[in-house]
Amino acid sequence: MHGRLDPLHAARDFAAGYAAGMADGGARAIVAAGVAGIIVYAFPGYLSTDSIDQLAQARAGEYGDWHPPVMAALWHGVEIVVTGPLGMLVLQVTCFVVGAYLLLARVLAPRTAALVAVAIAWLPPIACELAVIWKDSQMAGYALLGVAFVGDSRRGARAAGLVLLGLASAMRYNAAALTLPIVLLAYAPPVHGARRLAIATVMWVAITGGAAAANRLLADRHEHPWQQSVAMMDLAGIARWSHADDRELAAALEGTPLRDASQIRERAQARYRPHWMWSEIWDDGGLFRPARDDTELDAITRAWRELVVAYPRAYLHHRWRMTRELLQVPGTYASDSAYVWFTDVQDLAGSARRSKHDAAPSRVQQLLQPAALWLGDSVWFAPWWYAVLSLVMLVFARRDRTAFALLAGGVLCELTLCFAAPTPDARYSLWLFVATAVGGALVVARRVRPA
Amino acid sequence: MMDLRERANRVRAWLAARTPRQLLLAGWVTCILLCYPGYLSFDSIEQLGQARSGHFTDAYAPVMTGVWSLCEWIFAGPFPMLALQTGLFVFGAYGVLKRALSPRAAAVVAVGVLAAPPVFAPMAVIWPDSLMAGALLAAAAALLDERRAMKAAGAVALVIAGGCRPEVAPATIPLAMLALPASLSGRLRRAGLAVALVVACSGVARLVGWILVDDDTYAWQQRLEWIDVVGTLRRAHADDPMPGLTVVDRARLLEGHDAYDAYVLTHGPKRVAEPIADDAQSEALSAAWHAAIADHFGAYATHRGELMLRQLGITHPWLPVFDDFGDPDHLMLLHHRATPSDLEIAWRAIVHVVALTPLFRPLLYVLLAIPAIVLARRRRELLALVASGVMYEIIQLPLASSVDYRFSHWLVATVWLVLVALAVARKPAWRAS
Repeated sequence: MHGRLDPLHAARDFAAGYAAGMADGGARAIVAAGVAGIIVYAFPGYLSTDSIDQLAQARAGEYGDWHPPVMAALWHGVEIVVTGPLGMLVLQVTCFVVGAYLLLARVLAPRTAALVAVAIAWLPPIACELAVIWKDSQMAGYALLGVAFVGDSRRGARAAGLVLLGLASAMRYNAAALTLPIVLLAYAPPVHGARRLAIATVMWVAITGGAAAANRLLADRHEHPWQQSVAMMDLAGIARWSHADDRELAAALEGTPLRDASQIRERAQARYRPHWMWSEIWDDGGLFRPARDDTELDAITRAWRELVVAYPRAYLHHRWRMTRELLQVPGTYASDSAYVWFTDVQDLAGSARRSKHDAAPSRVQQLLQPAALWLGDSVWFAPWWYAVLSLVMLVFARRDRTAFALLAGGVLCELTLCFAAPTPDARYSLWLFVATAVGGALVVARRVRPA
Repeated sequence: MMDLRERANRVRAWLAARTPRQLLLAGWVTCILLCYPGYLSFDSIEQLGQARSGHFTDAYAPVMTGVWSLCEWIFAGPFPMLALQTGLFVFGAYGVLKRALSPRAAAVVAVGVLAAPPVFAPMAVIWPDSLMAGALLAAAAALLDERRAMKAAGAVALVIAGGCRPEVAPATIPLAMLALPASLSGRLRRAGLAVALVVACSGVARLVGWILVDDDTYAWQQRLEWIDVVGTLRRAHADDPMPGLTVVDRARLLEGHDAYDAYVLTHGPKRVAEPIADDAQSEALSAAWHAAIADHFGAYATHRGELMLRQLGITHPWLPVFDDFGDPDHLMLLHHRATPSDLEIAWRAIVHVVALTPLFRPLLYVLLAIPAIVLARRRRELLALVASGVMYEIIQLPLASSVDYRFSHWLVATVWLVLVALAVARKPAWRAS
């Protein structure tokens, strides 16, 4: 039986594992209430510009690669049964709460584990992001349930865990950073030492490569998200912080979609806003306009390489300024971190018409939404102190592989954002919030109730 | 590899291990998914607007609008009402059927009957008739329970049902009798107590509605009395004066020989009369109605008889299925819009095909009710259900305000439940122990 992987066995083991973990009726009721609580807050699910784009792609069955095609394809499948955001909301919230519960049930009594899992899910920075149909929320849900299964002693559960981690990997380009420590440390095949590490490495490569391949295969059109956003933002940042003069910059940026080749540095200095670098691309006064053809895209890639190599300090300083915004360290521009709209907030009526979806808030939501927006501006949503807390707890988690993997994954995931985040959205830091809360709870629980 | 038969057996064993509650929940969720987030007719949209604004009129059942308004605390839009009415139906049906069937069989029958297209079609729309059906089944189940709290819950469900359709009151008497303990002797005594319970619940429903309504539009009166007055006068060819009422065109008043839609009679460029707007006109319409019945009883009886024939699906073809999420322009201010899933589109196609068959003709259920009553004579809970359905259909003869399949839905639902339960109970293993 150990030699082969039968899907039916895997599914049965998966269900058996779930049933065993959820055997306590009280715990099951608490977990169900936890899921229901977030669904009441979010029903039928909040949608931003990105979500509306993905819903449109899911319905058309034509996927671009700006957003993960796997998520749009999954949404397409969910829409066979239930249209709109509700199906995706139920998926991400259920996976998250059940995953948190199963992880905590390893070290806590079932009811306590359920209560702590629900408390974590209801933490404002987590609940507010889980309420929106975003790739970040999807990733968090599948990744957490994947962590819970991947360390299981049953083969089927471990296989299910890897599938879930693969799904999470497909959701965000930087998910590989969170799955790496999880698979290397928490994946538990029935072998030890170097052999276990080798199998885990192969598994990580397989799920990461599989996720990337799936996204690539599903994409009907290539939208070059890096060149069209982060690369041009970096070029504007280097123009702002380097000491290069206009002649040097114009030469380096030749062929890129510059709006005006004169006074590049002066304009970059005047307009530089690390909390909203989109203004350099979307606004009429920005340095760039969106690239229109492959020649411009190639020129962007070439210019980025040349300028990063030529002015590494300017590049790093620009990324540091953006990272400060991302981490919301004191003194930076704190953007609204909670999102509470059922259609694209930038065009509520138009996006409702286009997506053929609209919803109104219930009276409970009318009370909770202002509270969420108020909390969204608070320190609850500031990733910097979650990062500090994670680093501190890594020390205490060194004997708990799962907790260590979670915390390390959170920190690594955040580190990738230092170089790749186009904007300082709090949702990008969702996994850091999750890893800190769940990893921290595991560390504390083990110390309170040693195994 | 395990062979197919072994796998099928494992699946069967897994299904057999599900508890009745799990089966009910799965069936309930599936039925919701077949029409999520719930279909909305013009009236439903207007009612949602009232539920949300808090400004109630009597044009739509105010008790139901109140329930909807409460539901909007948790979930906005039609979804909570869909969940409520289908939930009351399926769990209520289970509560009644488990008296006659094993719990598992009762759960399967409850879900199966809800999913049966003739029963499902109106249940998918947010209408008073659908909530009433759910509330009546929940009332029956709760009244059968020995616990006092459940009996009180049953009375609340009767109030909700009465609030949805006031004319249902007589049809709830058989259900109210279920609340009485078997030890209570004397048929008259039992009937008297049941009538007292129904009168109390109907009174409370009326009182709650009266308190909730902000603007009285005389809607119920207008829907019934305008069609009766005009339909009777047309059949009698009598140009009776109607003092106190504003007749727009007397020639048009007698045009044609029937009238089955009060809205058409009182709205639009081809209207016959202006809708009533105050107490004096209300009294005038009542007087005209009484006079028309008294002076032209034969014509009135023909008018009601013809309406009933149409209601039974005998004389005129109709469209018994409504499955639309509502006009987007009408819904724009309410911020609700939905599109059907592939599952819903497929299910709609099935329902439409079934709607072409006699299964959507209430006459079939009037005929089937007779054997249902005979066969259920020894099962008081099933007998009460089918009796209630038949009584409600009989009530339509004098009180139906238009021709609509949903007015016969309670009869259809009860006949389905009773006949399927009786058929299932033929197998001893599926009977209640």
